[in-house]
Amino acid sequence: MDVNQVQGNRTDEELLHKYCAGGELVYLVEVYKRYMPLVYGVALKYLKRSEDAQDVVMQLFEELIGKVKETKIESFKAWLYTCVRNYCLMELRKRSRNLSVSLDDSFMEFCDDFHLTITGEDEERERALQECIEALPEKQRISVNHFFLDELSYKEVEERTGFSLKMVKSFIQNGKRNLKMCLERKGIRSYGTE
Amino acid sequence: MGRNDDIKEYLRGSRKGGSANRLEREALSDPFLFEALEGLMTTPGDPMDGLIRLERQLEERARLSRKKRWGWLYMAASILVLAICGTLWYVQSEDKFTEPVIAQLSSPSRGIILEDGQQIEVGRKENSVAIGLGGKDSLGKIESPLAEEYQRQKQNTTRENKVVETMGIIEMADEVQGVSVKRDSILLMKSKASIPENVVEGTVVDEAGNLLPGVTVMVTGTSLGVATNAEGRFRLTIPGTKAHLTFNFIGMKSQGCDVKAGEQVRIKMENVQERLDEVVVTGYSMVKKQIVAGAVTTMKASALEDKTDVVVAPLDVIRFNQYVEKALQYPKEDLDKNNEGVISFSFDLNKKNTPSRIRIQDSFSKECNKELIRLLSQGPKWENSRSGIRIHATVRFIIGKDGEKPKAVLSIVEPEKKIGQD
Repeated sequence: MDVNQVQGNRTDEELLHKYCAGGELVYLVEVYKRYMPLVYGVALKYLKRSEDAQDVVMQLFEELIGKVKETKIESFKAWLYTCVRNYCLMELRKRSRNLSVSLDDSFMEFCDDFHLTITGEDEERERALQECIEALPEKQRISVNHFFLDELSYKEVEERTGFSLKMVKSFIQNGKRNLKMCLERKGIRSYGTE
Repeated sequence: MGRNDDIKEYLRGSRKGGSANRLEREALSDPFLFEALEGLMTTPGDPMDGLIRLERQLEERARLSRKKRWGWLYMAASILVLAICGTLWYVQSEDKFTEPVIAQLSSPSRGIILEDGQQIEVGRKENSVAIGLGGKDSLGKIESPLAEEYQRQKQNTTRENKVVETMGIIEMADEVQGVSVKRDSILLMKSKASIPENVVEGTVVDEAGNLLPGVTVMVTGTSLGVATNAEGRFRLTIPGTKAHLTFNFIGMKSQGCDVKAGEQVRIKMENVQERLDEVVVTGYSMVKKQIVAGAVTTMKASALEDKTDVVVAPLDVIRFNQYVEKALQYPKEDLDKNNEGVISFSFDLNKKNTPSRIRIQDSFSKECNKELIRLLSQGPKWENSRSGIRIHATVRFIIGKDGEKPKAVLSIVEPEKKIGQD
C-alpha cells in the first residue's frame, strides 16, 4: 500500500495530527502499528492468554479512535502505556474479584541508561566511574562489566558467568542502582537524568 | 519500525549479540518495553503468531475504513443517478399522443407518402375513403362520416375556403392510426397510448436455405427474446420502433441485425468454422501439458467418480501460487544459508474465505514459517473452495540454481486418502 511507505518517516505527532485533521483511520493505524508489539506484550503480561491479549489490542484501538481526538497528548508512547495498563487492570477487575498483579516491576527503577563506556572525554567522571565499579560487590561488578562494557546480552552473561538468568538480571539492576548512588555521592550526575 | 524489528528478532532469535544487549538496556530505562518483553517472553506459545495476526487485522481495519468512506460516496452517487434516471423515465412516459406528421399528401387526392417512403393510395369508393398499402388491396377504410365530409368539401372548394379538419381512426393491419383530414392534407398520426408495441417477424435459415427451428432471437442487451418455431419463423415484440436483434444457435455463428417495427426479416446463419482443439485446462489459462507444474493431478475417471465434494478448488491453488510468485520474500537468512525445504501445515478457511488458524506441523525454518503465514494472510481469497473446513497442504521452498529466482509452491494434501490411485 502506498500510504504505508509514505508514512514511514513521519513522527508520531505528525501522524496523529493528520488523523485528527481528516479523521482518516489509516493514520491512526499507522502510528498504532508502531507500538502494537508493546501493547500486545503488556496485555500478555496482565491477561496471560494470547487470544485475550489480541482482543485487548484491537479493542483498545477502537477506544483510541475517539480518545485521541479528545485528549491533548504530549507523548503518545507514554500516554499509550497508561491506556494499556488501565485497560488491562479494568479487564482483570471485571473478571475476578481478587486482583493480583506482580509487584516486581514497581521495584524497578527506570532511569535512562548511562553509558558506562569509557569515552575519554570527562576524566573526572571516568575515574569516579571506575572507582564505583570497583566498589561493587563481586558478582554485581562482573555482571555490570559484561552487560554494559562488553555489551553482552543477558543470555550471554549467563553463559559466561554461570549465574542463572534471574540472578544476572538482578545483579545488573542492583549494580546499576548502586553505581548511580555511588556517582551521585561523588557529585557526578549520570547521563540523561535531566 | 526498527524497534519492532528488533523486538521480533529478539523473540525469534538466540538473544545474543549487540542488538539483543541494546534492547535489554533500553528495557531497563523504558518500563513500557520492559513489561512488553516480559509479557512476550513468559507467555507460552509463539508470540509471533499473535503479532502477525494483529498486524494483518490492523491493516484490514485501515482498509475497511477507507472503503467505508468511498462506499458512502458511491452510495450517494448511485442514488443521484437513480433519481435522475427515474425523473427522465417519468417525463418520457408522460407524452402519450404526439403528433408527428408521418405522411403528407403527395398530390391532391392521389396518394399519401408515409415518412419511410411507402405510398398509400387514397381512392374514393362509394362512401368510404379506401387506403391501400403499396398497391395491395385495401387494408382499411375510414369511417363514412369522414368520407362524406371529404367529398362535400371537394365540391365546395370553389365557393368557400373553409378549412375543415376532421379526425378519425383507421385501422391499418395491426396498428391503429389517428387521421386528421384537412382541406389539402391528410395527416396520419400515431397514438402511443392505443398502439400495441411494435412487432418484428422473420424467418431464419442456414447456409443451405433450410429453415432453422430453435434459434434464439434476442433483443440485444435485454432479456426479451423468443425462439423460432418449427418452420424457422419468429415473431418478437420490440420496445420502440427500432432495435438490434441477436440470433444464436449452437454450432453456428451469432448473427446481429438492425430491425424496425413492422419489418419482416430473413436471417441466414453460418456454420462455425473453427474446430475446438484439444487443450489442457488448468483454471483460466491454457497451458501445454509439459509446462504445468505442481497443481495438476492426473486421475482416472473412476477415481473422479469416487470423490466426495471437492474441498479445495484447483483454481484457488493456482491463484495462490501465482500470487506467491510475485509476492514471495524468501527470508534472507535462509537464502544465505542455502536453506530450503518443505513446510507441512494446515489451515481453515473462515467465512471470508481467507486462511485462518494456521498450524505448522513440520518445518525447516522459522523464518520461512513466518513468510508462509504472511503469504497466506495477504494472499488472494480462496473463493472457490469450501469454507469452514481444515485444509492440509505443503509448501516447498526452493532457492533456485544459477540465477533462477527463489520460489515457493503450495500443494494440497489429502488428509486420509492417497491421491493417484491409478
